[in-house]
Amino acid sequence: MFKPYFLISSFLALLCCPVYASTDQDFSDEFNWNLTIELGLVKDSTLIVGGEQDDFDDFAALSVWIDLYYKGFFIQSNRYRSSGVIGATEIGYELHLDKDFEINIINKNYLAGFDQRNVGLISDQEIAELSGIDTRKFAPNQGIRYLRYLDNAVAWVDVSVDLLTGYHRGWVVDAFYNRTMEYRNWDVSYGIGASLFSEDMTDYFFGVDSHEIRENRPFYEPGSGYRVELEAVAHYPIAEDWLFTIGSTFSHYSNSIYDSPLVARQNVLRFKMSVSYVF
Amino acid sequence: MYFNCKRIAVVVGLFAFIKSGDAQEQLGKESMPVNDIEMIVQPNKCVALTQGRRCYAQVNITWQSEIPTTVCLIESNTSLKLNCWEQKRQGQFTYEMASAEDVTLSLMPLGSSPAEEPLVITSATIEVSWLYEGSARKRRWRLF
Repeated sequence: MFKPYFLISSFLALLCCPVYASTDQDFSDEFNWNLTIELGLVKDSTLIVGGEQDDFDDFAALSVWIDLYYKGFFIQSNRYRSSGVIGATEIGYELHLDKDFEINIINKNYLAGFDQRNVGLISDQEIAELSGIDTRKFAPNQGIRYLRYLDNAVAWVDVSVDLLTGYHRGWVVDAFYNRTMEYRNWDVSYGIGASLFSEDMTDYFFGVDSHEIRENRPFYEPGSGYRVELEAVAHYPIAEDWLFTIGSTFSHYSNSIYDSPLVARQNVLRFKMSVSYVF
Repeated sequence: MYFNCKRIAVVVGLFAFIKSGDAQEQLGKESMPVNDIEMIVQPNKCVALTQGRRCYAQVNITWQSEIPTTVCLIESNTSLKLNCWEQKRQGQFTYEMASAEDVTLSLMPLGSSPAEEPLVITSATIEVSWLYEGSARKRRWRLF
């Protein structure tokens, strides 16, 4: 029986073949870019043990983000924006554009990396609970996104595998629905999403290998897992170049992930309030 | 919404306005003495999230005159009469702005219309600007 990894990677290879290249593209030749400097306060209840925020520095997040678009290529810094990690950037190419939908090749992180000194917003600190673990690197997956535009809403499904880094060779199916409402000068969005992670992927991030075993950290091998998320965000233009953002994300993880000795809780609530300068 | 909440004070002499005796006859009033009217519009900027989107603001307009005056506040873009004052030295009005374009507010003698430019006593424009140009199809959909 074929493993999903081979099926998905074979499918991606076919999509990249010129025979399958769509000919009715209408890419904008215009080079679009957007540079944002964001200063925010983030409260993250953290999935991983040892990531609790204590000092003011742990709550403050200064980030510089650039989004680019040119002839179908795009770079977006959507996920883990508050982490300030370059690896969190989403890179893609529009294979097919239509009025109502798109098919993109994407390169994206679905789970955040961590190590014994860095978890979430905690950085460069010795984290006792994670002492002796291997580094879980930011390992972007490569895959296909089907994105559908609806009235004031967007929905997408990503199917992707770790093709390039080879850290875990796992796959993920990620779906999200986001609806935006305009209220006076505010944009208010809410979304719901679900991600299904393969066993290889959960094992890389949440498994405990034999050489990582400690007194309070037994060997652990999770099966496949999932995450369900709810999100609400509001944006408000303070001025021509200044944006105010406030929002919260609730994430629920499956038992296979929660049962890991590296995981602190099953439900993670993150809150962010920020002011951004938009160039 | 209003980063540069500068006050603008538009002081326009009525010399040009009163030069026209016809205007006064239209109003059925006797010639008015020379008068200065100061109008303050605050804020004078409205920022929308994206270009082309309607911008909302609560705009406070105050005016005062040296002598009792009969004037109307007009939204020039639509010629909509917002409020009138009869024989008042000052007035105040709260304007609920909802426009994707600049809005000009004018004080005019009662009975005149915005088409009659020379009759505008004083006016001020509320500029509409935006944070993001156009409504990009691709945008950030996630918070984190």
